[in-house]
Amino acid sequence: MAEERIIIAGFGGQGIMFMGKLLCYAGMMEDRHVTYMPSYGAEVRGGTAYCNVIISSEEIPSPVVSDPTAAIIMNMPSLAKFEAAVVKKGLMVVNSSLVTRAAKRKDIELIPVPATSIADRLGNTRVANMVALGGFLAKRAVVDIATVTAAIQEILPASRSHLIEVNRQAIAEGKIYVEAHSSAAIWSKLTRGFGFA
Amino acid sequence: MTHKLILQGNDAVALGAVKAGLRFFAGYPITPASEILHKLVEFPEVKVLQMEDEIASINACVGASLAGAKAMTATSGPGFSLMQEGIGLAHMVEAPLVVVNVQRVGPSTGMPTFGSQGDLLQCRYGSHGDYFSIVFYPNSVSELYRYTMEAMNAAEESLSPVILLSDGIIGHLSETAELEDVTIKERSLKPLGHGNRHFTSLTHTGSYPKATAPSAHQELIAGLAKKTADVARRYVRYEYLPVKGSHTLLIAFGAVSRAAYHFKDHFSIFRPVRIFPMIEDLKEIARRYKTVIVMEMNAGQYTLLVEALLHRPVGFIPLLGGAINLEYIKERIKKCLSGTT
Repeated sequence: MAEERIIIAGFGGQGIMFMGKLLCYAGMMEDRHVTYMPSYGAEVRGGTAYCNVIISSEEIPSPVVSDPTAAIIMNMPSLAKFEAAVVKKGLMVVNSSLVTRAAKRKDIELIPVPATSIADRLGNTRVANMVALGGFLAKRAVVDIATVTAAIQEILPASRSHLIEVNRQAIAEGKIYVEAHSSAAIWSKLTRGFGFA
Repeated sequence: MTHKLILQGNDAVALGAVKAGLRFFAGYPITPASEILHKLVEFPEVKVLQMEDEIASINACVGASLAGAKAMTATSGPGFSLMQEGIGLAHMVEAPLVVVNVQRVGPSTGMPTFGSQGDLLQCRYGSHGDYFSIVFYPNSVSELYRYTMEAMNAAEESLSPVILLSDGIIGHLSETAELEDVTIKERSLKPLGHGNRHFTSLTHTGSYPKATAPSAHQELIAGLAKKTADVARRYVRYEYLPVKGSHTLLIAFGAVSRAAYHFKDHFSIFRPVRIFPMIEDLKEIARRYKTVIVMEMNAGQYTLLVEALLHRPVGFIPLLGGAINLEYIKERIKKCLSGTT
């Protein structure tokens, strides 16, 4: 993979910036070139927030992403804002717990993940971001999941260290969900069911 | 010494300043520049004051500088407007200091969290009277670190306020950076309290006010012009990426120049880092090209000055409202080349 240009979008408070920073930090740990650029309004919570992350094997020209190869969409307004921007055959991971309308694009790979519901089941609705990230990484292994979980420890402040475990768990759950629901997995289940394998 | 890490642009400015020997910082928080103030608080060797506003901040810096401290302040457009009078004062009393302006969309409150390049002419002509600020405008986190040091060096050498321009994009950008140190310059002039010095913002000869003598003022301005030009000559900083067969030269700086790199296989690129005084070499370089195009995040500020420098019309791509869209740039380049703008 030469370059992955990712937009992560949702509302303030969903941990959008944390997802971006985490991906970026993990990329650096794997010796890649990375850029992370936040974009938000004047509010800390609420309002639309998104960030641009680029992970590349080469030096990155512009950190501003206008043609993302992948998007992680955490709420409804973000779907409207970024659906059209994703490149053809690009990936869009959608938090299907909050995004209730179907995407219009048919020329991209759409992965719905009920991130908020899974996070609630884990006992912390705020790790929905990590569930979605796990789902994204299941599809695009831009960095190793082990690196990402190691990076959590590096960038979470010490006062939040008790949250490391639930964040790791959330990433794992997101990955498991996507792998279990991908067409290949369903196909293999089906064929097993028919006794082919 | 270099080492690789991931760093935010604003933090890199703070680290560069500390490395260059910063001892005094006065400022007022403002998006998107606040992180510079926040980061500096971590360094006990720097006296950090949060003032009541930007006017107080720049004046505190002038005072600290005259007392011998390496001083800096950081702000964004609205604060930079308030600092203009203080910048003129610093030129008049020859107080070395660095003013960092992390530009956001203006005028007025504008779009606080969105980057812009709307303060270029203000850097050059914002205060009243004649003065000649040296201005640097880097385009990456590594460069922000390096040019903060260079700006502090140039300030100390020229005994004048030097402007370090940044923008909401590179200021808030985190990326892998390599921090390279430069040799730190010290001031030759003794601070207040040593020897006999008198500072006045009136026109003066030496330390003596000469507020009614035109010849004294002519000498003063000629002196300021020569002094900053001499120091600027030691900082001829630009990037020129020629491409064979291209008849077009793209000029860009700061965040926009990063987008320009996307076109480097098709068009030659000129990126001034010391954007003022303007790089003289551009005259010679531009002669080799049929078309010169400036792209910038404002309504044509640097374009105006490039036209004046080159004595020829140049194409212009405005990127307003904080947006840098590659498709749009591509379209506009095409239009410039077909002569429809």
